Amino acid sequence: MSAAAVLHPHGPADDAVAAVRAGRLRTRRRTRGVTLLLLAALTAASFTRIALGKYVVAVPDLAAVLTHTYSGPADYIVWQITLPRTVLGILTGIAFGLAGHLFQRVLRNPLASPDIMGVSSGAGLGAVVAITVFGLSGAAVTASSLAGGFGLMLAVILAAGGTRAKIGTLVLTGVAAGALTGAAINGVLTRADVYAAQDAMQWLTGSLNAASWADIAQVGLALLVLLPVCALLNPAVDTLATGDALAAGLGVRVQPVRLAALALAVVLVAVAAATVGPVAFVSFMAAPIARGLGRGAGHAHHAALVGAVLMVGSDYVAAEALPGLALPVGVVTAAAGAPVLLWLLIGRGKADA
Amino acid sequence: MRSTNEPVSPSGAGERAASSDVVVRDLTVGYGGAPVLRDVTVTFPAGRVTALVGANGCGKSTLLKACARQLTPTAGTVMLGAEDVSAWHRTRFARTVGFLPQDPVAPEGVSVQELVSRGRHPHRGAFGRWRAQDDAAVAEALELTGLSAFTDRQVGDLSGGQRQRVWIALALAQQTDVLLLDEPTTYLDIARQADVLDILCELQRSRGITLVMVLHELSLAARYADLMVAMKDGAVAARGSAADVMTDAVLSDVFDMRARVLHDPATGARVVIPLSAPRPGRDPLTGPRPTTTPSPDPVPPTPPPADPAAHRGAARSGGTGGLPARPDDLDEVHP
Repeated sequence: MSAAAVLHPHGPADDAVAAVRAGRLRTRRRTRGVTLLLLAALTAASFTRIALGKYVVAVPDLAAVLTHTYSGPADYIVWQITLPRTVLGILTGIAFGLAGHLFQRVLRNPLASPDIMGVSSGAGLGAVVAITVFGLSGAAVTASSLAGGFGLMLAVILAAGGTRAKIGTLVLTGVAAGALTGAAINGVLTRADVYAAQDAMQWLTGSLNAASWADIAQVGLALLVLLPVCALLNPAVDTLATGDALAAGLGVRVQPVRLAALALAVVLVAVAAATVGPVAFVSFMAAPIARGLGRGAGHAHHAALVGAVLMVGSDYVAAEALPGLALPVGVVTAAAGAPVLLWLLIGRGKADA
Repeated sequence: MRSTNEPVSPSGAGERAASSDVVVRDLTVGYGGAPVLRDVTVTFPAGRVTALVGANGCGKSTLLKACARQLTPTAGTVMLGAEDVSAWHRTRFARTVGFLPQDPVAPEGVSVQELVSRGRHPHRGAFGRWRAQDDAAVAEALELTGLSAFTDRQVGDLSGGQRQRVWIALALAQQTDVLLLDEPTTYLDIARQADVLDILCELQRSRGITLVMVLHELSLAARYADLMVAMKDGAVAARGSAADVMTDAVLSDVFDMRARVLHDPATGARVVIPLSAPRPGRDPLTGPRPTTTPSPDPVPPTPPPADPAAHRGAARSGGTGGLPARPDDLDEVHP
């Protein structure tokens, strides 16, 4: 013990502080390692999606295309088709992944993601009504799907007991509302005219086929505003994971933070879903996969990156897996989501046993 | 490193004195329906260990939650010293009063150190910036709870006793003057219960913090607490040292059962033997209610089956011996 330790008998020993510091830095290194891994995976997926589609672009050509020093068919393919798809996939993937993380974290339930809790169906219903009943398109559909997502979440919160709602009630009410909304969508579709219904169906499955730079600007701008809010909210959201009473004791405003996080997630989902449709299970899968990779409590930015990789990778698989048949991305994510759902349920069953 | 460690505590017990007395005045509080507590007035003295005891549903947890500002009182106040805490900013309150609820949740996949670090939440700035004194506080909390070897372990993989120590470490990392613990020993075996209470009381002694715990195990409460507050039907039924509260009559009343208290002169410990339920119409053990007379005399006014020479100060100090037998401020009368 040093002389200082005698003067401050209640302070921790220097080597204990150093050990804690080292442990914290180790955790940070591991977190950064996962971030780098995910960035590498995203880069690989993006390159594959941009250059290795039906029309293969050689690497030197790709560089020339991207710097606008190349003219030829590759220029059109990259700038009008594969690049916008990839960028929109990344942006919407980030939005879906973050939204899933926020839902699962503040509701403390890995099954409570916006797609399972009906927010996506709410946004879907808004869009379907806009498309089939009012024959709208473009920004009007976006607004309608935002209104649908928000309306559903608000209805769920009110039905579950307002600001005093218990988590379990909230989740179950959400699942019920999602089922109800799904039925409403089907009801609207059966009464709609065939062409409008087909449009709506394509949108509902979730697809990057119609990706445009206008969509990218819309989602990108929204993220520019929403990501800093998310970063500001994140420490409180993380602390909320230790239970309401403990978090309140640590100075977290429990219900305001929870409702703010849910509202933020609803906006993220609605903005993304308005352009690419409610792509199934991306929100739901992102955070559990991120947690599995990180061997830790899970970080918001990991969930966002996993969401982006899932969107871009699934879009490539959807477009190229079956020769001559380009599937919408939602088909692939739905197919991938089911096993993840099972894995989570089985894993939880084991943990509870 | 140490220079950046904020001095959280003065060097001895009791130095910060009345500033962190927890004073509950005319408190009426509940969960929306009928109030659970009615007009409760009680003081938890600064720099002491207080145990809240009573039957299930008597309102002891509710009182603790109200002190932690987890519940909003319909009437009355909770004060720290002379200050009403209801107006305090939540961050200031969280830096002064720590609260460990009965059912905290360990997030999946979180390590011991990460979870303990959450205790620094009220001390961190925007975006949760981490500073050197945060490391020092976490290191101290881990050291005090004997968890330094477990920092990298997943909380989910720990035993019940170890996990409970993690939660206590989290509360310690918060570095508050007042610590409120709701049944910190539930689900633990007798050795682990004593282990946790040893850590808490050792810490309370070295830091001079004010410790208030809800405890179910009466013998442990008697052994570790400076002051026992027994509650019944949303009111304080008895308040005083273990010798005052751990009597046949008080316990029979508080728990609605016949009980006999045995006293071991060697250790100073008191053990409660539950007898059969009171027969309707008559209760052989109901005598006059003990009057907690204001007196520095450690011998309880009602004749307990106790050796008058052994008071509870000797019970708790174990080998250290230097602890005052009873703080003087415990002698106010509370109905």
